[in-house]
Amino acid sequence: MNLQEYINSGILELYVLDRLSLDERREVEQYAREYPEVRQELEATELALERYALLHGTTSPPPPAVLTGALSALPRTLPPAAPPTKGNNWLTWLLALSLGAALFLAFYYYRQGNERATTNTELRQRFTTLEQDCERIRDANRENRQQLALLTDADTRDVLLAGTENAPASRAVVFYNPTSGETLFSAANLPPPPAGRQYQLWAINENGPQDLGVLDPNLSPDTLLDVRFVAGAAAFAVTLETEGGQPSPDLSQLQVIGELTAG
Amino acid sequence: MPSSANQDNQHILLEHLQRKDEAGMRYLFDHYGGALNHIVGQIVPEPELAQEVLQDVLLRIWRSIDSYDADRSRVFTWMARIARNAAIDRVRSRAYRQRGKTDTLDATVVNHSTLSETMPVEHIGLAKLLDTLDTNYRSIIDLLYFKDYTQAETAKALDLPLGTVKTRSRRALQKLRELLHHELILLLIFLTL
Repeated sequence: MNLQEYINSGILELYVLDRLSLDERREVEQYAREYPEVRQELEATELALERYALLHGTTSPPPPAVLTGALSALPRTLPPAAPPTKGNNWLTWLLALSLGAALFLAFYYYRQGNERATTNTELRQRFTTLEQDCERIRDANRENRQQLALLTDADTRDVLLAGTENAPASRAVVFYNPTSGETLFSAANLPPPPAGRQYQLWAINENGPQDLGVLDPNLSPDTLLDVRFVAGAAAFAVTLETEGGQPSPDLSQLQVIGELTAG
Repeated sequence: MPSSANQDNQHILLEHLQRKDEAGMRYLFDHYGGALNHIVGQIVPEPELAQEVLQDVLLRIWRSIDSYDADRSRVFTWMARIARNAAIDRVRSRAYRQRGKTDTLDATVVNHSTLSETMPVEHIGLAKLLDTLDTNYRSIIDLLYFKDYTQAETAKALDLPLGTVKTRSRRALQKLRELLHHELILLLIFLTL
């Protein structure tokens, strides 16, 4: 048999076109198995017709309803669609999510820790302040109690220091207890001293005026000052001296004076 | 000789179909729906009925991919045969004949000469190809391939001596192959769309 003649006869085309009898088909299939040239020719013809049909197909797209209908007719038992790449994706997302959550929590606790530290510091400061306040109040209370005890003591004498000609309206009070050896002073009504001057308190005994100290210019009339005790005091006086005080009083500047009454 | 691109396409189609999932059906429809629709439409001219047949064809291909024998033909040749047979079965069916459409097959025989005019030629590649392909060659391919005419019917329709159908089809297909070879680049562009 001349192979080329066989190929040229057109029988292969009719085979592809499915236009042959059963016997002819078997013959072609037999040759296709034996001769690669026949096989190749068949494929080339198939491919040509395939392209021709596909080209026609571009002008006759079927309506989408056909696909919808075909899909709905498919069996529902579909194989599980879980390729490994999907799993990796899923895992990646999970990891990303975990990392995000961890970062969020870390940030959250960091902030909370910060807040706690701040709160802690604030509370510490407030506690210290309260502690100091408490101490101050306790001291004041102790002092007040002591003063109260002194004031209510039977041996305490109160000495009213009345205003002199220099300051008729001025007043001061001294509480003197020779038994316990304590002296309290209160500037009941002393006007603010002139600039460069300061009030100075004196106790007068048998040795003459004894310095008890200068008064704070801003001394409040409510304050009871615990001053130095001088034994055998007979009178108390306040003079207006140059700032810082003097070793001995300038009697021309006497402001208030009061005598200790006997008994 | 066969284009590697088309070989690959066939490979992709086969892989899709063998997976037997919805994606396979979609791929089949998207890439071969038009061609199969054309084959069906050439035998079943009523659009509604043709759609029914096409849907049936798609399902048949999807279900019976395991019976495809790669040693005997390309996938598309196998699918085209299924489409042609399904369309012919429908035309020859009792239900179809009761619709009074028995004369359709004969009518198309008479109308073969107007084939080029009635065919919707919207595609520039196809139009160019058909222009270049001699009408006689085109007719013989269309009748044998799309219309499922027998050699005798084709000879009668084209007014040819019976023995010449075989050689005429050979020449027609040689010419088609030659033209397609030139149109290859254009084709590839459209097929990948």
